[in-house]
Amino acid sequence: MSVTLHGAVVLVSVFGLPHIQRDLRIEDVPMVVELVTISNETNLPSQPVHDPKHKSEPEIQPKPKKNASKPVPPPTPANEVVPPVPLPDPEAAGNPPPQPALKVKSKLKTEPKPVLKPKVKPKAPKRFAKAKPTRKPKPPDEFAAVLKNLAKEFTKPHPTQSSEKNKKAEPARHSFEQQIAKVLTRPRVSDAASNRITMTERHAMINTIRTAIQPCWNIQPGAKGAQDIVVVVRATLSPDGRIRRAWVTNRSAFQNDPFKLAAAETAQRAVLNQACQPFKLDPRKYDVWKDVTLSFNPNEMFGR
Amino acid sequence: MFAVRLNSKIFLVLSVGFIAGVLGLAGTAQAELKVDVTRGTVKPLPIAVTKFIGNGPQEIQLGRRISHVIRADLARSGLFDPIDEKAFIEVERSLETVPRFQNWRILNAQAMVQGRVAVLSDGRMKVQFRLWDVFAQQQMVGQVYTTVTSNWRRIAHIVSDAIYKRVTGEEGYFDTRIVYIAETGSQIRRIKRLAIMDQDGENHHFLTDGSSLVLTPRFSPSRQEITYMSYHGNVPRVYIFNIDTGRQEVLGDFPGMTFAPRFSPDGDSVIMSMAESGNTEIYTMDLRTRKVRQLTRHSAIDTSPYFSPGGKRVVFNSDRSGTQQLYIMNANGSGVKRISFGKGRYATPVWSPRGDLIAFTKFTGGRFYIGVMGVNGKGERLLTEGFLVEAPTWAPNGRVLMFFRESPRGTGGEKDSKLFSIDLTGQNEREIVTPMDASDPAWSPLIP
Repeated sequence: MSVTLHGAVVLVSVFGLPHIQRDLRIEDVPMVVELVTISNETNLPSQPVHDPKHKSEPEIQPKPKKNASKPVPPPTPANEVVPPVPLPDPEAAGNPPPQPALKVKSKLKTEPKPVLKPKVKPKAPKRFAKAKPTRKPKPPDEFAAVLKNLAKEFTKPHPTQSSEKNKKAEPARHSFEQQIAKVLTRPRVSDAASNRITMTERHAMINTIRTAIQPCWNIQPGAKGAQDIVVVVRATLSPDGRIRRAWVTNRSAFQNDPFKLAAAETAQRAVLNQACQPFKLDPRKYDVWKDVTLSFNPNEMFGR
Repeated sequence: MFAVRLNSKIFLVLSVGFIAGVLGLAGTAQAELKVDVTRGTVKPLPIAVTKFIGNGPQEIQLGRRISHVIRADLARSGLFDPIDEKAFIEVERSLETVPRFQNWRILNAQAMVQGRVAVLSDGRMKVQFRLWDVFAQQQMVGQVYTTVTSNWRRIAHIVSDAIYKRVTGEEGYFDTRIVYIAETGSQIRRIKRLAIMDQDGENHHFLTDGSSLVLTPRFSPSRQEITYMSYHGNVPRVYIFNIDTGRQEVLGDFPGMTFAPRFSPDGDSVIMSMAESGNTEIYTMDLRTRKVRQLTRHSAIDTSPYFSPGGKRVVFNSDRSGTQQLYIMNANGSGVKRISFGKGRYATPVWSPRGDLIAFTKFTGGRFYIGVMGVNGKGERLLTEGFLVEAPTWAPNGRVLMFFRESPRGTGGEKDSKLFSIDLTGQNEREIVTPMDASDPAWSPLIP
C-alpha cells in the first residue's frame, strides 16, 4: 500500500511538474509577444468599444475599470466632472482641473464587481485555448483574485479520491490553470489603453504634443553652451488635454548653475504655457497620454 | 499529497506572480509617452513690470520712473517683451501678498515684477522688488536696495540686471556705461571729444573739451579708468583717464606711431601696436614699471591686439598672408596661428568676455560687416552690415555688441555716424541715441 501510495505521490508530482513547466513556458512566450501584440491589440479595442457583441469584450471592459485608472470614461465623463472641480488644487503648477481624479475614484468603488465576475465565470478549456495566442500581460489584482479562488478551492473537500472523481478533478485543475492563464493573458489595467493603440497612433500622439509645445518653448539664442543642455520635464495631463502639473525631473542637476536653471525653467514654462494647450488628443486614449515625459534638447536648432 | 499539491500550486502561483510583476513593469515602461522636443522659438519673454508702489507723491514718482527704466532696459535687450501697462487687470498690490497669477496668465505674462519704494527718514530710499514666475507661481528673486534718491536710475538698472540674470542665467549689462567719441563740425574741421553715458544713452557728459583730437577710448576691465589716444602737437600719446577723479595722465611717449591701446584683463598692462621704421608690431607695456615688451617680429603689419579674458592669449590682425586676416598667439608672442580664412579683409578683433567668440569687422564686396566667429575660427556669422560699420565692443556678459555705423547723408560727402547695439542672434539691432554724431564706443564692465 505504502509503495503504491508513494508511487501515486510520485506520479502526481511528476504530472504536476510538467504542468508548471508548461505554464511557465507559456508565460515566457507572452513576454516576447506582448511587445509585438500591443499594436495589434490596439486595433482591437477600438472596435469592441463600439460593438459590445464580442464575447471577449466583456472581459476587456471590466479590467480597465479595476485599476480605476482613467481610460474607460473618456470625454463625456470628463466634462461632467468638470463642474465639481473644486478640489484641492494641484500644488505646484496650479494649472487646470483635477477633475479626473474624482471620477476615477467613484468608478473604482462601483466597478470592482464586474472585475470579479469574469474571473469566476471561467468558461475554462476553450477560453484557455483561445487565450494562448493572445498572450497579454496580467494584472496583479486579478492575480490576487486567483489566490482567493485557490484558497476557496483548498477549503473544499478534495475530489481526488476515486478515479471517476479524478476525471472531474481534471477540469477543476484546468479551471485553475485557466485562471492563471487568464491572468497571464489579460492586459494590465493601466496598459489596457496603450495596448489598444497602434504605433502609428502612438507616434501621432507624440507629434501632437510636440507640435503644440514647440511654439511655446522659448529658447535662449546666444547663450553660451545652450545647445548642450537637455531638460527633462514630466507632466500630468487632465482629460481635457491640458497640463495639470509639470516639473523638471533633473532639476537638482541645474540648481547650482544659474544658466542651466534658467534653461530648465524655459522648458517648464513651455509645458505649463496654456497658450499651447489643450493638446488635441483622443480622450478615449487618456490612459495613454495621462502621463508624459518631455525631453527638451535644442541641439537641432543649433544645426548639430 | 495535499501538501505536495499545495506547495506545487503555491509555487506555480508565486512564479506566475513574479512573471506578472515583470511583465507589469515592462508594460508600464512601455506605456509611458516620451516626447522629444528639439525645436523651439526665439521670442522675447512676455513680462509684466508693474509700477513700483509707494506712499506720497515722491515715492510714487520714483516708483513710476524706476519701473519705466526697468521696462526699457528689458525691452532693449530683445529677450523680454514688457506688456503694456494698460492691459493690466491687476494694478498695484501689496508686496507682501502673493499675486493673483490667473490675472497675469490671461495676459500671457510669463513673468511679473512688482516693487515698492519707501523714502526713509534720513532722506535715502529703500527699493524692494519681487520677480514672479507666473506659470510656476513661484518667486524667482526678490531683493532690497537702500541708497540716496538721486541713484534711482542706477537702482533701476541694477534691478534690471537681477531680473535678466535670474531669467537668462547670465549676468546682466544694464548697470554699465559707454565711453565714445562725440563728433561735431564739418568733415574737414571735425571736433572729437571723449564722452561718457549710461548704456541706455542717459547721463551723458563730456570728458574732454575738444581742443585736441581723441581716438580709440578703451575701458579698464578692473578699474574705472579709460585709455585713449590723443594728438598733442601732432604727437600721438596714450592717456589714462580716471573717471572717478577726472584725473588724466600720459601713459608714455612712444618712438613711433601708436595705435589702439587696450588693457590686459587684470588692468595692469596695456597691449598696443606701434609703427617704427615703417613696420608695425605688437607690444605690451607694464603700467607700473612702464616697461615695454615686443610680442611680434614680422615684416607684415601686425595690429589691433586684444587679450583673451584670461590674459593668456592675444588675437590680432595681420597681412602676413597677403590679406588682412585674424591670428591668435600666446601672450608672450609665441604660437602664432591664423584663424580666419574667409574672403575679404578682417580687422579689429575683440575677444568676448566669456571667452567663446571673437567679434570682428570684415570688409568684402564693397561692404563692411560686423561678425563673430569661434576662437578656433569656425562658425563665422555676420551679424550686421553697412556702408561703414566699425569698432565692435562687447557688453560685459558677452551677448551684445555695440558698434558705430557711418552712412552718407545726402550727396555732399557728409556722413552720419551713430551708435548701435546688436545681440548675438543679429535680430535685435537698436540705436543708442546720442546728442551728436558718435563713433568708437567702448563698453564698460559692470559698475562696482
